Amino acid sequence: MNAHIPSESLSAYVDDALNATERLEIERHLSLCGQCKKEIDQLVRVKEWLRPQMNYPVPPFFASRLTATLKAQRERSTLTDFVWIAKRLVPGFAIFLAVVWLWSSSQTSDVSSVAEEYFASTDSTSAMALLAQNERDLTTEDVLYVAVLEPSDFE
Amino acid sequence: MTVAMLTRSDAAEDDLSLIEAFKAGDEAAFTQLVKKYQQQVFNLLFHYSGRKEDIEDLAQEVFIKVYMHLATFETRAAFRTWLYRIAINVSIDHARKRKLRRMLSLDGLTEWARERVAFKSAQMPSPQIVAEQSDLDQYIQRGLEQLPEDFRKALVLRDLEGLEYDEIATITGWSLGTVKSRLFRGRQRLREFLKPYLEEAE
Repeated sequence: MNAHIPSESLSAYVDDALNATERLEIERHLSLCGQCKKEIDQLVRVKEWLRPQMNYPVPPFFASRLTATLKAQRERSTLTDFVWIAKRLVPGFAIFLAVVWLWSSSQTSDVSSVAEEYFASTDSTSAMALLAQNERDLTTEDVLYVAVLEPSDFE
Repeated sequence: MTVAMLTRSDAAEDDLSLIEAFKAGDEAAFTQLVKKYQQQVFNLLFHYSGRKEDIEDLAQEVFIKVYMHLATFETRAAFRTWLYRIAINVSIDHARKRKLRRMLSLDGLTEWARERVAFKSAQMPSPQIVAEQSDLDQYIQRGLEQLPEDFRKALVLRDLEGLEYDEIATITGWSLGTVKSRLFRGRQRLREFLKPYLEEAE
């Protein structure tokens, strides 16, 4: 008698996962070998026992409840998206406003500081020299603005 | 071509048209898919985890994941194997979280210890214990639960869900050889576990 069939092949045999030649070879051996026959009978029995006798009962209206959950999730995710966008937009907008405010106030302070120097100077020539020395890019409007300011405006 | 193959390809074609309809905006197509596969998903979740408590939550989680990713699902793959893979992953994640929760709570630790004792006595069943357990199905379920995860996965997919080797390979990412060997080793372990019943049945 041939050597015993490897158990792995017996397992594949009960799954009908062997080719015709392999299957025939095993069947021939099984007709002669009680030990392999016993092993395969047990494997078949385990497989049969494992086979579910009935389906697990699906709860009634499962699909409807799932659809409702999905709908609620979609609505929640729309709201979450809105909050997410808002959370990112608000600080950005605040930073933008702050930058604009700082920029505009720096423009005013440029003019104001030049105006302060202008009024602190003794005559118009030195004031004009101050203006000329100033590296800041003053426009005609700035100079005119300076000219119409009174010292009291800076108190 | 076998009858089983014909059935598989028919079902796949049917799934394909439902998926295409869903991608085109037809929500009802998704509900049809759910109704078609809900029984299989519940069976798989129950057989794989052996738990009834939160099975509906798990099934919902599976189908929500399907819904979220169906738009990007590659229609070259079979829907059923993709669905089963999701269900198994959900089941594994859930088991890990449950285990962690139990380990982190005092009550859970006590429960865990109790289960370990029960598990140990189940590993070496005397005929008396077997007789007390009277219900073979429950005993088989316990046998499945004590198997290493990969062996259990192979056995549940093959013997309880009736999948072919190539489908199991696709779901698990294993080679056909690995599928074959894990089935064999899982069966061997389960056979040992069920020895008292098998001897009685001879």
